[in-house]
Amino acid sequence: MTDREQGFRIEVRERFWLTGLAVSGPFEIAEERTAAAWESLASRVDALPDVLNRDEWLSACHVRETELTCYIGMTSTEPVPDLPDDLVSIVIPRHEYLVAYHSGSREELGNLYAAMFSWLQRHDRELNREILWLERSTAPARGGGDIDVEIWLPLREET
Amino acid sequence: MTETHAASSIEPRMDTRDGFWLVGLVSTGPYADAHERMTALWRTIDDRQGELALDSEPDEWVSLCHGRETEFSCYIGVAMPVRPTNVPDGMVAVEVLPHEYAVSPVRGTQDDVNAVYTQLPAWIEGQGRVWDRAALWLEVYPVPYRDDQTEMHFEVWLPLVDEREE
Repeated sequence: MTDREQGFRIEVRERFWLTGLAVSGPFEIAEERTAAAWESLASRVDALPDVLNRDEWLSACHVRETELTCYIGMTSTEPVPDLPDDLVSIVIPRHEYLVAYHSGSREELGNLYAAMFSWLQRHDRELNREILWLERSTAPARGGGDIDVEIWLPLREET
Repeated sequence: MTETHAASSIEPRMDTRDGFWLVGLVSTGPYADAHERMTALWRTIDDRQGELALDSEPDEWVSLCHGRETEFSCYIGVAMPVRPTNVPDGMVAVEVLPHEYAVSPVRGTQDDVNAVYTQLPAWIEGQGRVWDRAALWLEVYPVPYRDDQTEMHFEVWLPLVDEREE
């Protein structure tokens, strides 16, 4: 086990709602649009429904061959009433995840993902590539600087 | 009295499609409001087709979708063989790589659409192949979809995992 893997854990997360903004598009514009979505949501946090947890900011993404989808927003354990027209709210069902924490530059995140994929292979577990994976933080993402984030990779059920 | 409708059997085939670019609009969100969102998106792309600067009426209109547990993403627009130099405001250009697909025409009601999405994956399995659920699937239309159509007419193209990777 490497030092980095010492913090890895398997965790089940119960069903929850993610409410915020959705971005889909080719890789070359998705990063810019996602950053703009974070900025837009953070600027209006005081006007968003009270049921949303201000201490948990989440992105839920799915990457395909040349483009991706990301929802960014805040979570709740119940549906969100009186949703503003431009926001979306999705349900994320109960899943088991491989979880790892990262503190540092966004560029170093790639190494963490690689270590997580390697860990899964060695422990005979499989990433569920058909559904959303999560990045979880206590504050909205901001461009530049170091980040503190947890990566949650959804796992297929053990057979 | 409730009218019942027996969905017909599908007419599947294997086909390949070269890579292409799709220029158009995208929508992402929960299944709960899918019909409303997609109908509005088709209406908008139809209204804005003049901005696509096409030489002639397109032979086909394409939707690229990926559905997950409770929500989905769909792009709709026209296919182009090369990367477009100009993308109208609010639209995107997405590259689709070459793939092999299982294809079935759809003609009829929502029951017939549902039958294809049930029967085509089963047919793929029967052929010893695997539907690549991590990639976008296609619906190919001769004209933009409209909510007031009495009969739906398009083809479903489900991407297959490369046989060398199965």
